[in-house]
Amino acid sequence: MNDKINVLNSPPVVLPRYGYLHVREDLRLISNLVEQTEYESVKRGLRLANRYHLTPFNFDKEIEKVSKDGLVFLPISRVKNYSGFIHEHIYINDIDQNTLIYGVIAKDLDVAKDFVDAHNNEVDHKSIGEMLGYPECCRNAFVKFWERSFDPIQEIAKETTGHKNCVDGVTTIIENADPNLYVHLRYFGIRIIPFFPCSYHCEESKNFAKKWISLMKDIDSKTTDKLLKLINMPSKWDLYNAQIIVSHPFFMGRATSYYDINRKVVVFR
Amino acid sequence: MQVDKNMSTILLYPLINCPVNCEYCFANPEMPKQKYNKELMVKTLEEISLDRRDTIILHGGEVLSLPIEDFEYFLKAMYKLRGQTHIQTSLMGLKPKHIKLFKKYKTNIGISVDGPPELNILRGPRDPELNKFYQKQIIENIEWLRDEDIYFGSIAVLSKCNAIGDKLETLIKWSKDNKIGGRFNPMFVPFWSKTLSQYQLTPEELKIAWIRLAEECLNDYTLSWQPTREFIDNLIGCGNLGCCVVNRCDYLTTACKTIMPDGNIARCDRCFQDGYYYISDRPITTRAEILQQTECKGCRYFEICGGGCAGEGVNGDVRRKTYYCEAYFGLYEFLEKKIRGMFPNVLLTPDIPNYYNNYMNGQRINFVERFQPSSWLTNSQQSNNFDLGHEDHCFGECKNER
Repeated sequence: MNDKINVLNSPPVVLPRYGYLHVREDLRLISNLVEQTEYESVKRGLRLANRYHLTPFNFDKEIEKVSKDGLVFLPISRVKNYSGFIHEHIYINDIDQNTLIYGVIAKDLDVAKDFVDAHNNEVDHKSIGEMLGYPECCRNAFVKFWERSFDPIQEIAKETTGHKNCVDGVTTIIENADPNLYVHLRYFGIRIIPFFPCSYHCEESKNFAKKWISLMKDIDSKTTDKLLKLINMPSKWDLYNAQIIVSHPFFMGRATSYYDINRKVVVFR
Repeated sequence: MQVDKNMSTILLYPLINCPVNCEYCFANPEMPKQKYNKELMVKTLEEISLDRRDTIILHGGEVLSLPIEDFEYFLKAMYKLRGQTHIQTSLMGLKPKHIKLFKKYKTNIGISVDGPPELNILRGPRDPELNKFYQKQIIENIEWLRDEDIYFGSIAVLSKCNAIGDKLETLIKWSKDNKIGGRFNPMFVPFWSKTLSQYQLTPEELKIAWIRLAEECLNDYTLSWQPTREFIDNLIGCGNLGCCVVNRCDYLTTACKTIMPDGNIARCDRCFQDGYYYISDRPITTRAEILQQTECKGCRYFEICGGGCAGEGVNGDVRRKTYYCEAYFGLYEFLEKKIRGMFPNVLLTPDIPNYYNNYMNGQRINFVERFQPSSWLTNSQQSNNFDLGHEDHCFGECKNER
């Protein structure tokens, strides 16, 4: 990973294909569903904790909701406000209208305290992953990926049995993997599992995805169907010059990312 | 409807069938065909051009093929907003009714022509007999416009067919003899094309052609040839950066906006090569900001170039700087030396740190204060070091990457 430039955190952008302008609204609904599912999973006891952001203009309502749902919130840090997706928080000291409070929600105060503690000094990714309910194999893989990349889409591809490396030295092809494990469309809201899988065949992640889809359907069946339709289509992820371009049959999306001197491409068929 | 501040041109794009069928047409053959909705298109035009002065051009396919009542409908809407109109055309199908409308709506005509018939061979129908007829018609129609006293300029596409060696000299002579002013653009090769690159100039060939065209301009102040005049303005800090490709054009928003047949806004038609048309819902300048730190790092002319046209990105990659970097750099360097030859102590835009962010946001350069007498010695004259090509820019380092 080569971070020699100041990577910009400009929000992800979607350009629908001609005649598919409705995709923008679909993505908005899907993003809301994904966020709501993460929250509900803690509320319904499917996992111990989840990350949560208090927003500057709505924190009173958010605290009320968390409390009424029988959950606790503990702050971890003050971060710069952002919309959509971000690879890394920008930590700040001051608190103002441009500040998000990054923290944790849990049913149990002790779990929330442990979660906060795991962020102190050297961040304990394995413990955090465990409290978030992620599979052990994926927690271990994450630590390995994180040393090399903030966005290990190609690294996961290379761990996937049956992947093909093209002669261009840039492209990896994934065929017959489980689209429910795809995380390369998450910048635009499209994701089922909320973590990086250790491979696109990971059995533990497949089981996780099944539970998540069931929860999503319970929350909003129609939007879940839209999500499943979009995530199951072929697509291409392409990183160069700190910009990711995702080509999908319904849209082209751009997100800023980390800088790597090499171009990286993953084709999902 | 909000558009970004660096919007420069609005294309009204009814996307009608084009009978001209040029060899290098970059319209994506897979683009969905749809009958235009002229009311919706004009409604969008009125919304985005309110309180702005961007040039509006009727474009997209051969606009003279539009039914005459629709052609007038678009001209009338443009005229209402700007008090004049612009179209881009090959002049194929020009009729007396068009001439009347040009006069009524004060139309500036951009003619698509690459020189005299023997150089204009990539344009027009591919059938040899039809092409002969087309070439004859263009020449006659240019004369017709001149007889009618109607203003026109041209967009000539530079390629191996008209811009190297003797062909370039023929093109220059023809343009001067016919008093044709306008734009000399490098041929755009969409990345899906398998055959067009055979006609494409190399960056070095384009640099030679642009500098040769600039020499003619500098010897004749009546010639308004681009990009020469625009690059001079960019160097001296006169007005907005021109043309669009050097004005921080990002592939997600693009400086040029296209109003599609369904009335929605799309990007510049060069970006249609990737099969996605609509525009980002928020202004973006990411490409230039990252290029400034990577491929264009340290370039003397970055502030007035921004990495060039995204559609021309190296290897068809819109995130990269223009494939023609060497030509952009070469023309700027040539012109800067000429200006400094006249005014050794002049302050030019490459001398001003962060010029784009400071001066494209409303500040102006004080023309009086930045001149010192030409008779004073400059530092570079004293040290006999006037080679701009070897000062703090990365062009030499980047050269091998392309």
